[in-house]
Amino acid sequence: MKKLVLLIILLGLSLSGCWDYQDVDKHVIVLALGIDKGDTTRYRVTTQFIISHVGGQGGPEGGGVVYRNVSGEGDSIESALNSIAANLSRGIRLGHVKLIIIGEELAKEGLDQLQWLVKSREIATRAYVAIAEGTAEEVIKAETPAEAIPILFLYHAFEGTYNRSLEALEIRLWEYWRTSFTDYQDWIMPRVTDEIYGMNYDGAAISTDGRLVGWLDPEETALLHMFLHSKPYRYTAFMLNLPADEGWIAGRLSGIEGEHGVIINQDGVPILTTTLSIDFILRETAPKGVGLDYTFIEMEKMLENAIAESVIKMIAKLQSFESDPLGFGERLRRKDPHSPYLVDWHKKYRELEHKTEVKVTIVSENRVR
Amino acid sequence: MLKQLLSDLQLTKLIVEDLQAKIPSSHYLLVKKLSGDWSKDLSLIYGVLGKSEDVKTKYVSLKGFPGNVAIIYVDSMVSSEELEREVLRSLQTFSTEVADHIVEDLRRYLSVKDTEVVLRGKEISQAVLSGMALIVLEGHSQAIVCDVQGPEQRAVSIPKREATLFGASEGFTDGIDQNLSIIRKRYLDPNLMVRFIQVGRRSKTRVAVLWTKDLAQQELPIRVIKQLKSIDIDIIIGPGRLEEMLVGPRNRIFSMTRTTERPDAVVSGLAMGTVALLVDGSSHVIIIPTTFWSNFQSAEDYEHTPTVTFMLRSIRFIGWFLVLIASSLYISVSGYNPDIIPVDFVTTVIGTRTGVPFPAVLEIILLELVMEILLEAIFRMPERMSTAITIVGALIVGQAIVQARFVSGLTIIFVAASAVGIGVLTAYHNALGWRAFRWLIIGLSAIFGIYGMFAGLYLLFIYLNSLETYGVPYLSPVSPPTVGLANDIQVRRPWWKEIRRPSIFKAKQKISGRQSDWQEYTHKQPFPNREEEE
Repeated sequence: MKKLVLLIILLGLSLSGCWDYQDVDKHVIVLALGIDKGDTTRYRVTTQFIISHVGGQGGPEGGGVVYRNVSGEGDSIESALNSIAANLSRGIRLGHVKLIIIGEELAKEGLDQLQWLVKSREIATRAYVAIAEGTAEEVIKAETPAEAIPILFLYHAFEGTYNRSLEALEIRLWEYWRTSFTDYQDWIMPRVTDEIYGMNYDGAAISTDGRLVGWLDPEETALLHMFLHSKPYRYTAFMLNLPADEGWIAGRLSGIEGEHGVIINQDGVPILTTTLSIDFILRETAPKGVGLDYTFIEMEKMLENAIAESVIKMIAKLQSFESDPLGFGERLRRKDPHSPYLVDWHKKYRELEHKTEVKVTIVSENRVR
Repeated sequence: MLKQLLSDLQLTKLIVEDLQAKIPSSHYLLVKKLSGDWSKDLSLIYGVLGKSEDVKTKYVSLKGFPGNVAIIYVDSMVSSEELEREVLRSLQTFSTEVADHIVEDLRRYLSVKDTEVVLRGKEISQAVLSGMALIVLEGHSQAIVCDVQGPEQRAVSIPKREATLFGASEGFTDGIDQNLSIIRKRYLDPNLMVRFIQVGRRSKTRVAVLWTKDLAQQELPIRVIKQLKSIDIDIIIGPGRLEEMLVGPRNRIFSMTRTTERPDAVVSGLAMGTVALLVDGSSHVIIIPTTFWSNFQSAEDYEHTPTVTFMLRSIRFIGWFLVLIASSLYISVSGYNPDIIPVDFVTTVIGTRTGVPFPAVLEIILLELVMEILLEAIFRMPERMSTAITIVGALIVGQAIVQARFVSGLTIIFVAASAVGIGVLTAYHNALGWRAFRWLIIGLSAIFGIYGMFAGLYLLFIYLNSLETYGVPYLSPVSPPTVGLANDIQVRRPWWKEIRRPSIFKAKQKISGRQSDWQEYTHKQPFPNREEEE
């Protein structure tokens, strides 16, 4: 019995051991990875990490945490990371990578190297992915007044839980990974820039065949977002110009339920459909009180038409880029796997008819009754 | 609806079972009157008093009275001095001419505080068990009870180690007889059995075994008494040694019995079918068997509302869990798995650890050691000294140690959390067991990280599952699961609804009362008219 216990302990010690024990302050904890095309090599990887620093800010008695941005180049992401680690004299930990930013130039060539990041098992698939306008390095190295560690500003922007604007499109690594399995859905990722607060999101990047092809502005992103996930607590602003230059009414779209799909008509031609059900909170009218001359039913009708118009515009833009982030193709494949339209889908998608249906209910005019 | 029906069915089944189990004859005897037939009367009296060993009988003879006279009393409840002075001496000088009036004459003759004539079994049982002496005369259907209740031997102490805000503030003393009378005072059940056994070759310590005849499982007291008799040891000086001899090798880390100095805890144990052991010279009473859940139960729980009880027990549970994992969680997170905690917290950990020369493992182990030493010092020292030690040890050293960057501030928080968690456990001597086990978990997490921590917890639950005392598994009724009958663990049902005894001790009678129909009296009807009632 005693021998058995001893054997188990010895075996256990050989499996793992206290010799790989390393305190958290002896690590380099990477919070963000930026991947760009290298000057001479294939990749240029920029990391933002936190590192313990005696005499820094935050901790008591002058100890604390500082952040550093370090870039390295290599023909693979691994070798680029390796070249960073080689100069640091401390182990690199990727478990806390919150954000992976891909440079514009690299994204135009395709994102296949992200597959490695998913498979590495070191990076959490909960990490957010984004496309930088310009290079990822510029975004990561940008300063922001809001957070001591700049990249957390962007991370917290994506991490918000509810009651947030629909313009904030957040895509996690696993969500990207899921779209990469099908030929009939394209990835979409937020666009990040270093313009307003040092770093911020600004619309979205759209792709076809895995390559970056264009950008959506924030309004279009918000519309697209309505169909991507059901987001009952999210809102976006909407303004309606009243006819004959009377003025305008504005408010908040909330309680959004968006659906999209494909129907096949008698000739076997697929038609893209989108339906939206929205609650509208009327918040302002200009000139003062002018919009209230209309009945709510009239206003709802006008809003429905206006929103439908912008949805049609947004889908048309996606079609013109041959980008299908909503996965209309995937819906068609599930409906009719033998549809001839699936062959060379992106080309045919461009020509398809789109129908939309919008239902708006004015739930509140923001007045005390 | 169905649930209600099922629980009703279950209840009916239990009641039928209770009826089938033989109802002790004492219930029938309670309403019976004395007949004058000597042997029948004696068996009636012993029947209602229970054949406890502390029920004593003394035969005397009276001048001019030809028949037998017996004085029956509970040894622990009467003052022997008063009994001798006021009763026995009076009887020696008493003489009567008219045999028919002897009961009335004798009653007037006795110089005790209070005398009364009793007829029925119920009166006899109540009077004798509350500390009066009974005088029975052959051929008479009336008996006399006289008040010779003993004064307290010494001031009954407040239970210091099991303090409560509500509930009884009386604790046991060191004398076995007085402890017995404390229990008797609270538990007048004639079914309470007392058996005295001498344990210890040299010390010849008196140990009293208490149980309720019609509740405790048949084998339980027999097994305990047999085990006690088989103990062959030089001296028994406290419950700890006895406890170990009773339970054997299972007592290695956690105490398998409950030790208490609160009479209310003992009485509620007796009413659930457990056995209590009183050791002479110790103010602690052993309750056998016990379960894991008694670590989280306090006498106070039964004074609060069920919701408050649930909250208190949950807090104790969380405290217990903190004791086990707080330190090892810090080691695993800091040394192996920083990825599992939020990034803002990692920043804090790094920040506080910066400049600390030792690895987190060493920090925790050193600090835990210091904490153990400090706790031990506080317990060993006289009260005034221990306050000083607390201030020097915890406040000054704690502050200085962080300022000197010898350990990080966060480590202090985790170690302190695990040290404070000890305090919430109601069974203190078991708290030490948890503290000991915590070292194993700390060791495992120092080697294997978070996996080690969970392996340690897993080991703990395997070990706890393997434990049992006198046929009661330590984790019962949760493991092995007893469906539907698991009461009074984390949730206490309101008393008016709780009519079953806890199933774990396998009491002979499973129903402890009748579900109160309180709505009938408190809600639906107006107060009854007193005149009408009369």
